[in-house]
Amino acid sequence: MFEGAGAAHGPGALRPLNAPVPLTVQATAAGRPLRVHLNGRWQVVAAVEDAWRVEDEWWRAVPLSRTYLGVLLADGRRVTLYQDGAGEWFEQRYG
Amino acid sequence: MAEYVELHAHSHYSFLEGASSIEEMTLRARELGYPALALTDHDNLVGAMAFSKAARVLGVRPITGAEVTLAGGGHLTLLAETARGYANLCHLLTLARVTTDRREPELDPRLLPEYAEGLVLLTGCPSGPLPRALTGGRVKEAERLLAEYREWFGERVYLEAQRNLVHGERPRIRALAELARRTGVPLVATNNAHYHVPERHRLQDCLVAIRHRTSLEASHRLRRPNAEFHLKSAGAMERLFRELPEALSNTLAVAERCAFLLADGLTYTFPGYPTPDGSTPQRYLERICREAAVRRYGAVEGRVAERLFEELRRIERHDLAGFFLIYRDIIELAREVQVELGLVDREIPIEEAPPGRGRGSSVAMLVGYLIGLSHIDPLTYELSLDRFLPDGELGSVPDIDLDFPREIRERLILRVHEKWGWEHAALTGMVPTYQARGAIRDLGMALGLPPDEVDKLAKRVERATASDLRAEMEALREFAGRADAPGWRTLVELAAELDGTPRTLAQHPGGMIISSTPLSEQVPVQPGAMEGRYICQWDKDAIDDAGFVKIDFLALGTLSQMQEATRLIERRTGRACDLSRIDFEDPVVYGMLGRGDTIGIFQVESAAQRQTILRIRPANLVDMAHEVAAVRPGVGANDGVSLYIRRRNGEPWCYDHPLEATALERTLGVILFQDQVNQLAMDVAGMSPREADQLRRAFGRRNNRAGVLAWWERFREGAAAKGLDEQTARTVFLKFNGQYMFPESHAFAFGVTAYQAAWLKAYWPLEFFVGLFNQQPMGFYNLETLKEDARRHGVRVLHPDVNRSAAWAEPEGDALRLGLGHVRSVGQAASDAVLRAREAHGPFADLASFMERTCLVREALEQMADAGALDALCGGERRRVRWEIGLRYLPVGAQRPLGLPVAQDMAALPEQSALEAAEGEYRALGVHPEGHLLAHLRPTLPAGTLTSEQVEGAPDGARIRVAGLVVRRQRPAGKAVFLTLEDECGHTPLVCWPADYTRLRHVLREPVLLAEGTVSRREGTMNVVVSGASALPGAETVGLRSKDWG
Repeated sequence: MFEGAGAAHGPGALRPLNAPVPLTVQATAAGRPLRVHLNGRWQVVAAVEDAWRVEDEWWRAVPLSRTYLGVLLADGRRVTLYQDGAGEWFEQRYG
Repeated sequence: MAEYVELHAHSHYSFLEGASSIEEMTLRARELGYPALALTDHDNLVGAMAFSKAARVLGVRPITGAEVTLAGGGHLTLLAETARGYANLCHLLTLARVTTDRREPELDPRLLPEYAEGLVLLTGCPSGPLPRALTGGRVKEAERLLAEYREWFGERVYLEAQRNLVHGERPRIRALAELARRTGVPLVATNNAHYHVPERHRLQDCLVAIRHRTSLEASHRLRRPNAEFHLKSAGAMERLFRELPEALSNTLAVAERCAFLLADGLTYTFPGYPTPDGSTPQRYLERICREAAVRRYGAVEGRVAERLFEELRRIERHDLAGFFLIYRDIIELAREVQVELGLVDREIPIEEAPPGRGRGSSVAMLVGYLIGLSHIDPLTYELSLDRFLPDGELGSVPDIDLDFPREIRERLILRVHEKWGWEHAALTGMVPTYQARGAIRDLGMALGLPPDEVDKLAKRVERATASDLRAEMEALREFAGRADAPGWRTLVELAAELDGTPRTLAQHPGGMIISSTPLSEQVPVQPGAMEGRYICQWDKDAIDDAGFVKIDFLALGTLSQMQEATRLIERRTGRACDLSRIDFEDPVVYGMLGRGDTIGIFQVESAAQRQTILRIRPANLVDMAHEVAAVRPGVGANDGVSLYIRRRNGEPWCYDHPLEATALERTLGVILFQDQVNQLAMDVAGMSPREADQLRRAFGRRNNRAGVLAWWERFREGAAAKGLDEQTARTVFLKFNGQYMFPESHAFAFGVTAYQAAWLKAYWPLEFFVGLFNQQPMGFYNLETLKEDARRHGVRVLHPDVNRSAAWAEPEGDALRLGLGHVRSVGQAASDAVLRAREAHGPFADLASFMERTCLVREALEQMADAGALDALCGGERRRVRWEIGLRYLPVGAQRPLGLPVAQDMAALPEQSALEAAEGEYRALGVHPEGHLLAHLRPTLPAGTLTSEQVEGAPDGARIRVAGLVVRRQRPAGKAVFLTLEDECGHTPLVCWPADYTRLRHVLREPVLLAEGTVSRREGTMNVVVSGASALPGAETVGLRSKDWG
């Protein structure tokens, strides 16, 4: 057995990869993000480079409905945000 | 106001990909105000003709196109600008399939320049080579590809921009727009529509999962990410392409240039006929008909001369001589096949032993009879020409259908391909569609429902359609109340949407088209599933709309059966058996038919036919034609069968108007044949033959109430002009319906075949049953029922025997010896291995030498043991021989078994009971050769249970109990359910009324039943009206299947 194997056992020890992280975003009424609160600081959105919709898992009790945005921040970083059906914002890598 | 044309749309003919029908797509296009719509299904034009027709009716201009898959991956969108472009598209789609795997077509892009003329090229969806290069940042490669496209297609190239709100789209569109700006190649917007409305994306997701044989949960990366692939309004597209308005306006420009209209632009012509003597086809046909007439009739005079003159006149008028001569060539090809297969001596004239026979209305042609297309003389039965070849204008080229024995047909198809080449001759396509069972199974898998439950539901539904699965589930005890449960509700909803969706392109049972111009310029052609066959991408309706001539070669099992029987008779007697020269007035044969002794006889063996024939009691071939025609939905729809029989048996009747006399005199005022509808329309309403035929066809079209009403107006006016009041005209008109009926000549053709089969059964039962056993599956009954019927006709059926059997059934003295091929799991190879070993070194002495010499796999050995095929090697101790197989068997690939002693390892096994042996035979053979299951079960039945023979003698109204194997279930028009029980004495017909059926439905599906009910005798028939039923315990292991709902 490898060293450390089994360390992931037990409740809460398994963590999904690439889980969405809730985020505070200031956006226009049309949903275009203006500023993003990241790492304790507000970052200005310089450009929305891509936008796409995901509608999936419609056969489940809670279907998935998200609008993703690939944004360029003023500091040059690129992040992927999404807004869910309830209007909440999250950060999550895509692809 | 914005305008937009969708130039990239898939219908459900993009199999398991497009989720909306042509009608849905076209109607939605009209609702959205599109002036035109392009249909671009994946790699095919299967729906192109239907689309062209539907769109034109709705005022949307159809653009014919396809999305082609390229070798090396990726797609391109091609649209037909001109007729040449359409022909090139057909070529490209053909080449994509004939040069690669027909199921996974791939077009070599190097073929594009040769076939670019007249085609518009859009650079394709994101997986196209050019968009892919742009996405990957390989701008130079994209520019090189674009330059190539321009070189091939000139200014008919457009950069295709799709905005479906998917990841990576904005950068790609920006790059496309930049490329357009730099090169001057116009940009065009498309939406890659896969369904007509957003809600249909659920079904599209399921189709993708089904195509990959997986579930929705497991197909995340295969499916489209959202519901944006629907037909969108111009306004919606304008918002999506706000920054690129030219991409929208260019859709109109492309639509404008694609002026080709499919239905108008075809160049099909039926091949000309080069005559061997250089004369015209008409003169040549006349000559061979006269020569044949002299052989048949001795001289061409009187009625023969009159009829022949009239037919040849009409043939010349419609320029059909070449058409008939091509059919004659096909018959000659079939004749060559017949000779090659050793089915006939070359010296016997074709008319003595024709390779096939005609069916349908063409049988009325004396010319057809003379050139070998049909087997009955139309003069003898006074068959009218008018249905097949009216004197007036022809609506379309008439159809001639030919039936052949199966083995002749298989080779004939290849021979026709060889003679004309696949570019000029191809089989008609057929599009199987989803019905209830397939929809439940496939959607159940996609939705991840429990497979056992899905399988159970699929097996229990009764209606073919999946449009109301909720009602079906509510009617089933195990599923009642579950139609709203999570998962199942989705299944119910989606099954209704999936109902009728095409699954694939398959081969029509026998239709072929032949063209003098290359077929692959008219419609794409692709290799069939069977080696050497080619299928065109249109079904029979599209072919009809295109005006192609379809030739139907159908395989008819009964012809194979009769052919084998006559060969065996010849072997036994040394004399040829010519069925065209038998006595067609033989009271022995009609006596057998009139008793309902018709099992195994073509056309008259169903439960309904057996009941009817008891009351019609045919005495000649006219009666036979009436018998086979009477039990058809179109006759039954107006209670015609019962009416005809009552009048035949003396009930007084009169015409509703004297003008009906010509049409209905010979069938006692009842419409039995299609021709009579036409005749009535002509005689009562003064219609032309063509109009009358159109009226008849209008009734047969689905959803054509408006069409029928229009014909009523025409009929009413015509009848009024002939002096009929409206009420009488209505009475006559109401006799018409859209259900199927036979043409009169077809009924005669089938009636003769039925009589010939009956003659064989009456005089040569052994040969009749050998032929019948060897042609299974065919007809209405399983082997067990046929075996019981053979026994009643003095034919004993014997187990297969490895030392005596051939591959299939053969006569052995006066008995029928089953073949090795009748044993389940014993395929052709295993059967050949046994026969070769026996031929090489004589009979097998024991199991050890049998296993050593044949090397059969264990499953085949065990099935042979259960079937009794090894009885001769073990003294009939089947349990012991199975044990010994276990001791001796070594798996495939291991050292060959040696005949070493195993006596020391043999166990003392209890003797197999007779019932256990029977069950083994049913499992291994589907038949218990020397007994019947009910004979074994009878001692366990409740006291007072009658045999079928005793039921026959029970009076009307008697309460009885009877048991048997269910050999047939039928539910005509979803009303009462009819079952046939079989026991060791014969058959008992049961009827279960709907109210009782609801209560007993589950029990009545069991294979062996104990039924209670009341004897009902009416108009010479007897049924037991079921009031109660239970499954017989101990019979579930038998595994016999009845043939249901046929």
